[in-house]
Amino acid sequence: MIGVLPLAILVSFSLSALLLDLWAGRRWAKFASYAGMAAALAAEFFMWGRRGTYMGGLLVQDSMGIVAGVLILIFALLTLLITDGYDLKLNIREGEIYILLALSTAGALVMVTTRHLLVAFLGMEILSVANYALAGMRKDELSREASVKYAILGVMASVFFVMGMAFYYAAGGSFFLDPRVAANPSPLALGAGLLLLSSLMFKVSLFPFHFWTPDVYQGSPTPVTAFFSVVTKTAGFLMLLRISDFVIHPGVKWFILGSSVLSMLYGNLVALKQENIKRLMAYSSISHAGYMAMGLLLGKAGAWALLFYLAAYGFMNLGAFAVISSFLEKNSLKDFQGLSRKYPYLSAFLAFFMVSLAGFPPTAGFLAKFLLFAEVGDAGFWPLVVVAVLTTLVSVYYYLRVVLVSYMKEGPGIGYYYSTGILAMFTSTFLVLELGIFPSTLLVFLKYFVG
Amino acid sequence: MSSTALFLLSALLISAGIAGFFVRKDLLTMLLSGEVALSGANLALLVFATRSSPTEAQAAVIAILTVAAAEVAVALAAIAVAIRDKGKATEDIASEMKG
Amino acid sequence: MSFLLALIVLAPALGALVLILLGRFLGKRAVFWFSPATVGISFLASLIAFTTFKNHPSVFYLFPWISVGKFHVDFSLLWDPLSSIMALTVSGVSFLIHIYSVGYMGEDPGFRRYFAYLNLFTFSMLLLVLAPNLPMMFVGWEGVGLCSYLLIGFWFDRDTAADAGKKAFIVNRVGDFGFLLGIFLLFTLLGNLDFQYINSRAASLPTTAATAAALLLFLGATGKSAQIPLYIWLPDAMEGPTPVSALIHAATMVTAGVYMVSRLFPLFARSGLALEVVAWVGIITAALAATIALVQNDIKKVLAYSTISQIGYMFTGVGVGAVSAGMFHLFTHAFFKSLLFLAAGSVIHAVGTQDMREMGGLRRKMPITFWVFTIGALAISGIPGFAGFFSKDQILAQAYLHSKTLWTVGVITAGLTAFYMFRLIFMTFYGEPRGWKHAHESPPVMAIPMEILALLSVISGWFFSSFHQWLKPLGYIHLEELAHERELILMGVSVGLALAAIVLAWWIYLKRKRGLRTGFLYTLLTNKYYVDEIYEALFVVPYREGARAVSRYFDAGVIDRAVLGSGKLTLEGGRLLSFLQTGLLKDYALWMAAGIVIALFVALRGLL
Repeated sequence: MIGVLPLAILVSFSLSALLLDLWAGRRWAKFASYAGMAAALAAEFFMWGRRGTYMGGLLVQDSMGIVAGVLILIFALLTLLITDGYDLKLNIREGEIYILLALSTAGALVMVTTRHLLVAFLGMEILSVANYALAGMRKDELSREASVKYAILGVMASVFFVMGMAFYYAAGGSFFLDPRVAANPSPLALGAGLLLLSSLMFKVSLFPFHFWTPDVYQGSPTPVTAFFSVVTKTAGFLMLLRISDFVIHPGVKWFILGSSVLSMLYGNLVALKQENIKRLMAYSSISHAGYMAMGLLLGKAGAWALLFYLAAYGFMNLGAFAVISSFLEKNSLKDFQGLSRKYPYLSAFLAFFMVSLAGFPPTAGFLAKFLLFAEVGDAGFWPLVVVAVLTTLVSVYYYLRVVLVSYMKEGPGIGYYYSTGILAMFTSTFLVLELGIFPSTLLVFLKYFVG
Repeated sequence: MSSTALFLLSALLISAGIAGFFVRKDLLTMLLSGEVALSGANLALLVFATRSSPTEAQAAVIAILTVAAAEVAVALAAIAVAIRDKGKATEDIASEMKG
Repeated sequence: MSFLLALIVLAPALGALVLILLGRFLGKRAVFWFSPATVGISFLASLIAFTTFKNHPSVFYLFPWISVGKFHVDFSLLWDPLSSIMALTVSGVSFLIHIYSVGYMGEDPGFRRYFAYLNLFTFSMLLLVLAPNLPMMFVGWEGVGLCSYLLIGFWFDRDTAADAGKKAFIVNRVGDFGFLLGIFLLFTLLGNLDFQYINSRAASLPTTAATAAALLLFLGATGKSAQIPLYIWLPDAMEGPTPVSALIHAATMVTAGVYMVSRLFPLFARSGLALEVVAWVGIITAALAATIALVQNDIKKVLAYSTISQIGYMFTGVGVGAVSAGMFHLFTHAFFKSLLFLAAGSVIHAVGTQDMREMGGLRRKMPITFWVFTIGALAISGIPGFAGFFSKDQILAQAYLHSKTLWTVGVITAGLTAFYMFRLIFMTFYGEPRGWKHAHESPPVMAIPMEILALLSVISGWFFSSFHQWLKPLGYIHLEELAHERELILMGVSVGLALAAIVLAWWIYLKRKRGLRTGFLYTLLTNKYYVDEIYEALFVVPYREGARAVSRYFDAGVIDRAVLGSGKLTLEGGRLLSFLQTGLLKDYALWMAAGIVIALFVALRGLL
């Protein structure tokens, strides 16, 4: 039963946080969330290298799942750091934001530790329902709109998933993911694959299921946006990897390929005209999902490159959002004018993360792109690599625009330092450089476990 | 009812639900349409399951229904806040952000 | 040895790190000592490594960088004849320019930022040079690009500087696009990106694959080294501080493309076509840039076009198979061109303008600057005894053996070079003072680096044969033999042409004193020299107008529009696409449903 330890720890801590919030106040709820995640992370490290199936096969600890689980927990801890200090400034006094973050993380953990569709669906819904509530945590119109949009479109994605489950059950007679079912060329199996893919593509914001992304990213509280962009994405991509056996069908391959190309083009082009940093980051997130989707085409063989990309993307994105959180929802690019004079360290961090997102060495952003593109090219998808490299070129323009505005325009320079946010920035910087210069620390495990 | 008839019914529910998304402008009805489509998908699951072992699928349907209830609760809460603020629930109250 | 090599790279990195993180706590004098000292250490380490080097290529392993699947890239440094020469040149020139900068940038309020960037640049450049494989070279490649961008836009409150930085950046990204694709292609073809491996296996590659990879890499080189079609950023890059122009945009970074092609010469040689392209792009760029330089009035712009032109020679040299000749020109050019820039900087520092029409007569006020500039000009013009003569002559001789047309264009360009360099000298240092009031000679901290570079601009040319021998162990270094009498004739033609061009420049810009001054056509129309008028009408005017037309339409028009226009198109595309994002739930749901329906339809079409 040891395999369920991280999950059990996180769930019990988040449920006790719920009670502690009622009995002892938000401070204790916050503490329980931190403690739960840290303990789950420790348990996950303890699991490192121990694989197995539990609860009649419903839960699985495999290499991919452990790596993704560790990443999700680190991301979630960093999100807590960003939230802590932001919440009171924005008048979010409820302890629920921490509890919901912890529960949502538990949902993500469920998603990555199963090969059973029903369990995966439950995990996805735990994640999503908590996300809908998180999107509306701030008490203003934009936050409310984000929540409504996310929830209603999310219901539609759930419908796709349940339809996919039904088809899958019809094709294989079971909810367990099985390469043989995926390889089955019957219309039912193919339909199941496409429906499940679409539903998950909604979660990771791939074209044409991405339309919620900019609006929800803009409206949600910034730390929550950060959470959506990394934790939800990581869990979604891991599920996508698990059903990537379907790629052997040309129809599915073309679906992913088309979606990947369109996401790269759409995300990067529309980002060019954005004046709101959170919308810009949303389009950037769509384009990065497009890059990562290329890895799906290789099936499980590309898993290591995709997981490395997820790690790199997660840290640099969290870092960027930690800086953006310091602006307390003043998100127009104009608000960044004069930043470097008044808050030199904030602008230096911002520049660093933008440079990494744009894919410059020696940051992790460069290496992630480099490894993934090389792997995809090596598999023979040359036109795709050309599009990816070209759109990366385009992306430099809008990432650097943010840097330019903060360094080269005069302005009053607004901002707000809070210690936990700074801690999150430092940690992310360290990890982004670490992965860029000594990637072996992660690659060793990825190679050993995954590829 | 034969399984073909049930299958047709589920297809009808799914189509009606998804169509409801586009034709109605009321957020509540849109949510309702989503749930109708979800029921259709559930029904399809049960129909498919009759061919092999139905128990697993029936358990799954109950779990899905429970989860859907939770989902609706949160979505309804968000819409309720919107109605309280704006006095109506058409989709244009949630179209501030675009572009 | 590992330690020495690590020191070469890490000393400037440490300098940059300290200046960025702790710069605000360091006093002015501390920065002035510290920053050049780190580069000095780097230079000393290179010198020791160079002298103790046993002349067989060796890779010094530091730690593993990427190791996954079939992908193995180590963080190591390559010390071989090619990289040792480059490391020595880069660290040496960079050291001198750091010292010069103390005088030039000392009064600028942003001097800490300036020296931090300059150290960072030196680090990136040394990384590029000592990289044993393509991914590491790319790291350095992007690093120097980023530093170059930061330094061009150093005075960002000037709009022109910010725009120039942006332009350099955009154009270079186009080049990087090719470079990256080339790397990916090579990885797919060979599964290993070490230079030594690529070179040893190049012969086994299919010709088309080798051509594709080589041309993609060369696209990267044209971006970084400012060749057709991507040269347009370099003249604008002159908005940066002058020592930066000397270091980055003359001596080191812009020659990285030549270095890369030399490094991967066997790959280029595998595809004859790629080498041919390199040679022709080089010579056409050389000629085009030289004609444009003829009509520039901004002292730095003249030098910028001259740099583009000289790099074109280097590519020609490598392209015709004479790697040692091309690299030797890179080596000598690093000295005389940075010297010319530093001297120009000294002039600009003194008179406060870059417009040569407002200079004149500076010879007496600035004797040291004048003399070192003249030495640099003689070197670049290919006057016997000076460095440029030996290196350019080698390239021309090898080009002659390859194709007479290449040689003809090259030798005419050499004449043009001498003409515009001496036009610059006569307009700046001779004649009457025009416009400036107080000029002064630069302080020793600026003068001494210039004097050292002047010395190098003379003597560095004398060592071609040992340079050639030094590179020999690379295995692909060879020169075609040219009959001695033929060689002397060719040499005579180019030297004669250069001398004639100098005399012509003297005659036009000095002899007739107030005669021809570009832009002041009315003074030309005095009747003193009837002959002049005929000459003007027959030769100079059409020629100058022609050159101007080239400069205006070709340079600013076609290529600018092509490169920057595609940027505008992209922006418009983004604006149009964003209309899809209507903000209405209904539309978003419709997209999702349409997506799934189309996917199902396409996938199941064949099955149902």
